[in-house]
Amino acid sequence: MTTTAAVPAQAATTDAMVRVEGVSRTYGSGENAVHALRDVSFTIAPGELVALVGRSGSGKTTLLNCVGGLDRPDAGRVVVDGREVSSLGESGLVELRRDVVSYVFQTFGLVPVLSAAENVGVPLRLRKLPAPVREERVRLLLDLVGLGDHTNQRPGEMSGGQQQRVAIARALANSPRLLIADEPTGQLDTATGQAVMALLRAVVEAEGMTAIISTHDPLMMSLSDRVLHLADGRLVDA
Amino acid sequence: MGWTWQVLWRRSGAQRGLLFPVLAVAVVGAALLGTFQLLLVTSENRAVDVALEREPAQTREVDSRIALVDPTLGRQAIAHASAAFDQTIGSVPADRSTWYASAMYTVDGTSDPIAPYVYAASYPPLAANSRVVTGAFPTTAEDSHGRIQVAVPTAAAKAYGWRVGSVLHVAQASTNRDRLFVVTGTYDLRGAKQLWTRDVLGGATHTSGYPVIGSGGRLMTQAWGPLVVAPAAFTAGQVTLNEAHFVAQPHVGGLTPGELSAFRARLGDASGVLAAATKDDLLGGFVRSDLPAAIDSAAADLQVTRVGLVIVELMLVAVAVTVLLLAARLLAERRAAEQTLMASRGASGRQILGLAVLESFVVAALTTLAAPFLASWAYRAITSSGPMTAAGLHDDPGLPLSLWLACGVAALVLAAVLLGPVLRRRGSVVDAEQQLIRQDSRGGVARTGADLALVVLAAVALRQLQQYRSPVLSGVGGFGSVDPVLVLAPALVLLAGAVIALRVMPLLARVGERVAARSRALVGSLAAWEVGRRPGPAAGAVLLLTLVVGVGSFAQTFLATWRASQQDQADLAVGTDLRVVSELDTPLEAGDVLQDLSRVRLASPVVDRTVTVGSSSESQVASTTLLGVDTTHADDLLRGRVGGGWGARTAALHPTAHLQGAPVPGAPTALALDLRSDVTPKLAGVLYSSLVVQDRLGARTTFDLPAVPADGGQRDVVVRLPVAVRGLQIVGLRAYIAPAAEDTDVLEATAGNVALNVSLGNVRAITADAADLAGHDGSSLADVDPADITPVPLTDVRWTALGHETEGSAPSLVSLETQDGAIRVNDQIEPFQVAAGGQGFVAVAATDTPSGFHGVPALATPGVLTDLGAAVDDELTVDLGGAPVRLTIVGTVPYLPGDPHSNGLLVDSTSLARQALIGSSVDPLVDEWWLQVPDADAARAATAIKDHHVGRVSSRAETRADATDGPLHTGIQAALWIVTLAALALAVAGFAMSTTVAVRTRRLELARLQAVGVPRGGLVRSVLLEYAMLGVLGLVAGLVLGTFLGARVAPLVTVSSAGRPPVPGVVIHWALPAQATLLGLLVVLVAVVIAVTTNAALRRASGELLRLGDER
Repeated sequence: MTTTAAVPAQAATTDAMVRVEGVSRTYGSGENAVHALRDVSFTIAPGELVALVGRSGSGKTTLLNCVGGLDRPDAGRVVVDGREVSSLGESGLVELRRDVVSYVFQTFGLVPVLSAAENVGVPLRLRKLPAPVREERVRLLLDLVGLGDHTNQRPGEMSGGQQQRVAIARALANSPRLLIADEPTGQLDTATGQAVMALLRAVVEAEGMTAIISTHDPLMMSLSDRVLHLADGRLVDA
Repeated sequence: MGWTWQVLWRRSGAQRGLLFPVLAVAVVGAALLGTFQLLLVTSENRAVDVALEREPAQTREVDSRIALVDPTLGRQAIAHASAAFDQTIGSVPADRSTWYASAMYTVDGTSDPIAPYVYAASYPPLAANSRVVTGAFPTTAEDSHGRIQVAVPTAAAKAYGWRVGSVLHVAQASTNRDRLFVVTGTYDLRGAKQLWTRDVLGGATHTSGYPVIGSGGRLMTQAWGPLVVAPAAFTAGQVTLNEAHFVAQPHVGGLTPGELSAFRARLGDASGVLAAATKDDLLGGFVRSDLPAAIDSAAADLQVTRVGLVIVELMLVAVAVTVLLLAARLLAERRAAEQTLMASRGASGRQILGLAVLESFVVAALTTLAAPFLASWAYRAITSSGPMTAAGLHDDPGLPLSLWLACGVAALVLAAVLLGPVLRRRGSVVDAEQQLIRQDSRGGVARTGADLALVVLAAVALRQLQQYRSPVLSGVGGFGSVDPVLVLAPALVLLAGAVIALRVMPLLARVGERVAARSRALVGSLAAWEVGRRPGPAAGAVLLLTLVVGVGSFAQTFLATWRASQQDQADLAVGTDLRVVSELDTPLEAGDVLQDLSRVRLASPVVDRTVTVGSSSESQVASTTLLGVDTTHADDLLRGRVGGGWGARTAALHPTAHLQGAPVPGAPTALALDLRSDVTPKLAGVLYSSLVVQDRLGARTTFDLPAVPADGGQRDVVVRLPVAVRGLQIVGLRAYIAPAAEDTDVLEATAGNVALNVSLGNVRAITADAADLAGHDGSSLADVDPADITPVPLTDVRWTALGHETEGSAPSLVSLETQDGAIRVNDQIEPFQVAAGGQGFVAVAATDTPSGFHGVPALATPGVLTDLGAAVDDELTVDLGGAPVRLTIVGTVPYLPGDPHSNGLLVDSTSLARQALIGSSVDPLVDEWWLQVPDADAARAATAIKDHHVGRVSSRAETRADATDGPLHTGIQAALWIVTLAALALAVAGFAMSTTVAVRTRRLELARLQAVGVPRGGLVRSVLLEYAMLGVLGLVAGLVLGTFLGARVAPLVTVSSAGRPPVPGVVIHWALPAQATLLGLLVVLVAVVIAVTTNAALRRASGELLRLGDER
């Protein structure tokens, strides 16, 4: 069994929130092998907002999935908040997602049968917060993303921007230390995308969290503390 | 390969995991319906064959009897009747024989007061069922002197001193034409009595009471026979043919339904065909056979069983179609995004529909190809063990065309069901997306309307079923037609109940959502939200479970209720453990055999006959059944459910007085007595008298004494007893004067009464071998050892003599005195009564004088009271063969044991016999014997009775077994078990499919939940909890529905073999252990299937999956 017991004590004391060391990831084999990541290494300090940019197929999503524990690298290691993600077992990954990392997906990732408030409340239910506390927190988060009047609407009844704001509110619900957003404005129009980007910047600052966001959006790049360029699975200089 | 085929082919490959369960469910569903088809047609047709082959030989016999009007036409009549019989039997394989019997011949030169009769006969079974004592059977009609060659019974040979070579001078009794018979041998008849039912004397070879031809039945004489002749004596016309029987034992087992039907029709027309062929030859002719009734009964049984099968099958169809609908819905949801995409890329609705039609056609084709083989295998498996095998129904049905058709039609219907959701989903792209989230309000209204229509239709059908009280209607010609609405009623009620349950589901789901809203935890809340907010799949699962539990619960209740009812009906129909219709000559013989059978705890003589009954108050007369049983042993003897039990019901009937006659010592083979009669004025007529002897079982046998001249002379007469039995009593004597033709003038000239004085005494019990007694008078005792002769004192008994009852008045007491060991009766009879014949008295051994003549207490069925306009405490008069017996109605009984469908009267047999004897009837009043035998011993006891050739036996245990497990009935049980297990299998398959598709459809959603930290195990628990909620709802709804069906429908579809409401009425048996087992099994199997399926289908969240986005 695994997991948090395997986290080295000294790693927790390092100042990097995310440490990626020599990560490689290949899909398929032989002639059909696709090298999504090749020996990628970088670190992200706590409270830093990093934009990950690159063309489609450059390996952005693979890298984010390896950081978030949704994928395992073939080589190298990923350490998030002192935990070596690539060696975590199922329960360790669950704990990581529940307590440390939050996702914002390009496709929003909301549960369609749940209302906005219920979607936001999912991470809070995982922590078994009392209902009044949970409801208060949900209300605050929806107000934060400007959807205080849409608590009972379901995703299918909201616009893409609204859905993404609900997704951001849900991502913030458990006060994660690391926010991973995979092209959060990819399905939004420019204006809505800019609003979402501004919101992300604001909440990252407000909550004091670390964020890594893959994007094509120049605005987001400009709002970020640092930009990582990925090309053919390798980090390149801008 | 066109575009559509390409898309279909590639999509099938990609979605094989989804299509395979759908195809599997379609194949299983069609195969189950195919199995029902085999049960319905192949098995049931075979059941008729087996049932008919299992009928007793007597039932299957066809007997064409002709009686001649003109003896000279014998040869011609035989030819015509034979041709007509050939036409009736046709090509049906049969064992055939021809029986000939002559008219009566008088024998000259004997010492009998009236010349005895003999008759000649040629019977095929004689050679194998007789013992030649001397000489041989004749092989030719005549000897060289032109004398008819005959073999005579040894009893006749002894009585008249005939031996081989003796020549009998005989004259044909009606024409007085003389013939000479020459004796070629003597023989004894052997074998069972039922072998000789066509014989003039029923195989007895002798009777002392054969009516003298031309005497109007007043004079009796001895008759002997058969005198065996060669068949040529009849076919050549040398012996006057009186009657002939053309007998066939058809083998109907191998006949096709069409051939059997045609044979049944020919049997129905047989008497007409015979009459047409022999109309100029015969005094009478008819064809007698129980086979048409047996065929009709089998057809009726078959029809009722088929109705039951169809009722059950329709329920299975409902479940199968529901599973398919569930599959179709899940398939449609899985395809929604694809169709939306295709529509948005320009595919027309027609193209999308065409693709769906093609896919459905492929599913139907594959189903049609596979299902018949599976159905045939399933049928063989079902019939290879248990009751079906015992019923003789194990058979390889092959792959008949009807099976292909059934499976093909089922496959097409199921394929059409798959198309349903595609036909509905024809809105815009946005509509399609919205339908994934919310119910379409227009669709909701339409569903509400359809549900309401279904509920109304079910209510109407149930109401009709309740009014008719059977799904089988009686047709114009008796048994008949089937009303589709009545047959559909149970399935309609099932579906209506299920949709009502679905209406309740949202209410409960809302409660679940409220609880979820207040809950801290996620797992339960996710399950509640899923149930409440995806009503489509949830409704499908609840509908399926409701139907399955409802069908299973109903099937088990129906099965238990049906079995119990069939057994109740069998108990009441037989009325006792073993019911014996004796074919022995006397009750004495039957009682002797029955009381000695080791497995028989109680044997009791029973009166069971149709009588004419009149109401004194209303002057109305009706024909009804009279049942007389030993009510003091009612609980031991009578069977069939009745309120309070038969013992309590018949307590009021117990006899208050018994016949206590003169005990006969030892086990006599014959009784001898001195008989003297004297008539004033002197008449040339003779005195006929009978002794009534009662055995230890209370059965009375009447023995006719030889007729004696009423000339004042004393005659020593002997009567042989058929068996030597201990414990006999002489309980009655009847005597009457039969005037001769020349007495008419004397009687007309008589002014006062005719004085009839009869003295009977010196009764002796003879224990010597009866075969040693040569004749019928005292001289036959000459060679008997005196030690074998024991006096029987008559004078220790209190005797009462009564004259004949006339016009309903009480019989008058007649002077009787006992003296010197004899009883002397002095009767005074009016001359005109003597001239009318048959007038005399009866002397009865009774414990009290029958003054007041209280009626025999009787229980009446309501129908009798209605027919007669009578009520409790009224008196009725029953005619017992001319002897009136008064009955007093002391209560009612809903039906009679042994004859539950007839109106009737139930009395105590002892009371009835005593009162009948007082009414001067010497009828033994023993129509049947009812026996108490433990069920476990019934079969062996029945076999023993048959081995002793006592007669026909009806066994309650056997009837019960046949009623439930017989070839014509066991199909319904097989069907109920099939539907139970099939429902279980379909539920498991349905839930496996539902879970698979649900998890696959929601896999992205579940992956997202994992991505936000929901553990995989929690999601599995959530799915399990979701189905548990649906399961509890479905189980409760199904149980309520099953209970309702069991309470309201099971009693209505549980019918008699004739399709009528059963008697006694139905008592519901809930079969709780079976239901609990079924539910337990269902819960365990479904839970395991959901857990395994969910665990297998729910993948670990991966980036690859999450990147699929909203693509389903």
